[in-house]
Amino acid sequence: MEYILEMKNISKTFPGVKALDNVQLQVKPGEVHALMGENGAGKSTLMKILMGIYTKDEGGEILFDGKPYNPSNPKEAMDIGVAMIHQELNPILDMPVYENIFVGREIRRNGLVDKKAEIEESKRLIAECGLHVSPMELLRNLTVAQCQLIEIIKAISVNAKVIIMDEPTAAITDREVELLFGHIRRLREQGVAIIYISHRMDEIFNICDRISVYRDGTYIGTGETKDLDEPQLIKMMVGREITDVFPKAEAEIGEVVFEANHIVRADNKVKDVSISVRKGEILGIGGLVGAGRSELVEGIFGMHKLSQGEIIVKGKKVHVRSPRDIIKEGVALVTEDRKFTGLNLRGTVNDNIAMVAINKLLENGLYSKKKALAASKEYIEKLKIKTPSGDQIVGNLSGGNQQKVVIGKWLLNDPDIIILDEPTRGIDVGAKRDIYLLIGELVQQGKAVIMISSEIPELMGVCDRIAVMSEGVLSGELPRSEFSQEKIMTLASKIEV
Amino acid sequence: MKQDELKKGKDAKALLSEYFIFVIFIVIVIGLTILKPSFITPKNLVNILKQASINGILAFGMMFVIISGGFDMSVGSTVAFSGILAALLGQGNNPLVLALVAALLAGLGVGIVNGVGVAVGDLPPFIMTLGTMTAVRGLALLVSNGKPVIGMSEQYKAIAASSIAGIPMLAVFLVIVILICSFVLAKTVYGRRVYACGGNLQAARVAGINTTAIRISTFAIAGLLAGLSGFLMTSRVTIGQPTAAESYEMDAITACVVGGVSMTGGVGKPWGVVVGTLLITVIANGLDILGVSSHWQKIVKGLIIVLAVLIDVKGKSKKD
Repeated sequence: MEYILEMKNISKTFPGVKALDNVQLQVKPGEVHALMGENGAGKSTLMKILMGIYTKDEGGEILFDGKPYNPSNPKEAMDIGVAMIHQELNPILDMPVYENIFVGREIRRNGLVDKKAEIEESKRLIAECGLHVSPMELLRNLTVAQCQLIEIIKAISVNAKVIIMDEPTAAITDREVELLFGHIRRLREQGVAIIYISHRMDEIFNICDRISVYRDGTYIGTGETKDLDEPQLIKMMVGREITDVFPKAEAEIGEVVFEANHIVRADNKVKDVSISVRKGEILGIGGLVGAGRSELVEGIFGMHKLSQGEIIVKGKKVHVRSPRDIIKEGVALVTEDRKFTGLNLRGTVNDNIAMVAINKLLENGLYSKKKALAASKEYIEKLKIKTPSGDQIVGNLSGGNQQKVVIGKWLLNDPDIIILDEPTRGIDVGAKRDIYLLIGELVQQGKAVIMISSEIPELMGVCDRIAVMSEGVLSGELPRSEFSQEKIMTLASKIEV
Repeated sequence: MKQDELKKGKDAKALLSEYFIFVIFIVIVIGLTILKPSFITPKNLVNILKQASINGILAFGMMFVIISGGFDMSVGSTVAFSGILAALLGQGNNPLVLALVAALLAGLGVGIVNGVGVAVGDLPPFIMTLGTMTAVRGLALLVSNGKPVIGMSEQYKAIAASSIAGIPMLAVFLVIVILICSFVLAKTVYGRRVYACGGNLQAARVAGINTTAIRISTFAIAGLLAGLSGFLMTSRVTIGQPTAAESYEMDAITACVVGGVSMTGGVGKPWGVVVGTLLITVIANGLDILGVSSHWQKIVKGLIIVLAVLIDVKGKSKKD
């Protein structure tokens, strides 16, 4: 048997949309097989069909180990031997680690849950993974990265023959990525096939044996990783050639417009950090996940209490008690978690764009729908937001387009200083490039940008200066002339002795 | 070293917040005993147990629903409806088991309807059970013709009046319900999955749990226990009242919330609900003994609900 899994001529129609059109996928046992494509290419839909979450249209077939395979729910899929690590984390926060690992397939003894056996087995799995948490710890008390690893442990422990990993490294640090890759290699040796979905090129080339590419619900092709290079892949994904992945706009750098001095957060997650940014400048903030980068900007923005610190916007000292105080001064924060703090997912594009700068949309003191529609239309065009209309519910847009809506909402308020926290997380190559171009335009207009990112190449490509944080302190700052991956990594992993 | 101390301090704090309600309970009992020594007499304690039993049984049913992420408004109406059925069938020489089975089946039926509406029909629990609350109350009125039902057999009346070794029969029922429910929640796979559904429904579904069945079953359990409560209540008041048990669901929810069951689902311990039930009953009983008017009692009850949830929310970290 050459293939452990074969999907042939798979189509899926949603009301009004053909999400998949005669798509195929062939996976060999013991290979890491990458699925690539922009958001909306149909990768997730294809995988949901594989997990029994969606049913495919009539016609087409799926063979697992040579036998027809048609699971009607995730449990059936897992019983047959297909497990999936979902992109949206699925922790049950109020359950301890060991219960999360065994949820849905509890170890039983005499018909009852065998708590002791579950704890023992969890301990073993956790240790194998190189993770240091107690099986009794509640998920609520774990970091995002630890939660992610628990998900991975969960999938590994099912003993599946095919494991789907949807963006498994989106929230974990490089060191943890290495650990994960170690596991993937071991699984591969055991003959387990891994279907690997990621937007990160370096990972794909590092770990994957073969790559299948999809675009707009159609199958583009499959190739051996060693026969492909990055430009070729991008061309397959986007359908056109992208020469410069990180377009860098030239802007005139002026005086300092924003300063945050000696910031200490009341919960001590940020310890005496000072940053500043000039007009027309893009300041990057690098560091590992958990280094305190988001915590810093959220503290500055009045979302968390500071025990010390001074914030100066355009030469004026600002006393920030809540986000309102600093928004008034022309500062905007595009938060990392667009689903929780950035968007009203149930609202329309129009509603969301009107959220911040509603004062600009008034007529005789009342909300003017006409003005709101005009504003929304302007930003949909300006930011190239792909949406059928302004009345579309934001939750139905792709990640990249959702991100653009968040940015649009802030731009309407015409801020002078824009802070972007992981603006390209989980969005595809094309949309990323749109965002870089947009950032370039903003600084050309004389605005100042602070951008947090975990992707070092992105920071190096886009920023004029990079400040690196580690364990809540500023471990160093580099001007563009001194950018190098090694220097940034060294600063990021610097530990206070 | 410093880390260890920090951790210890945190643990002590967590421990206190977990057992806070228990501490409060003890403090109130001691306080009432000092104010009014007659509070602690065996006679009054038996009385408290009796008063607590029906609400306790309902609270345990409610606990299943709330932990699984739901909410049940229809409990009071179900108690009345099943109570009426039990009263009608508990007359004359009918075997008592007939009344019991009818009451249980009626409760179970309402529960399943609620569960199907929520889990299959995808209706918000509040709306679905608001509907059944109203409709089932109508059923109770319809079956009884709007009039109280009287004439139950002596045998039936004797259930609530009797006691075993000084412990009222009603309390015996409560204890049995507590033991079974606690065991199911803590030890069985089913119990674990009830928590999983309430903790993160999507995650439970992805983990291959039949969330529809679990959710229907929790409403069914609440209904079944409401049926049992109806049967017992009719025996206690020796009359079937179609308008009885008004707002009993609120008392059950109060007991759960005060006992640390989170309204967002996924969190709650049976012993907490036991303490919650006793706490409310003890406060009501204590205020009665102290001669505080029932108007004030309501105000106090309201404050307790808000306070309990406030402590619950504050005790949790911000990650949600």
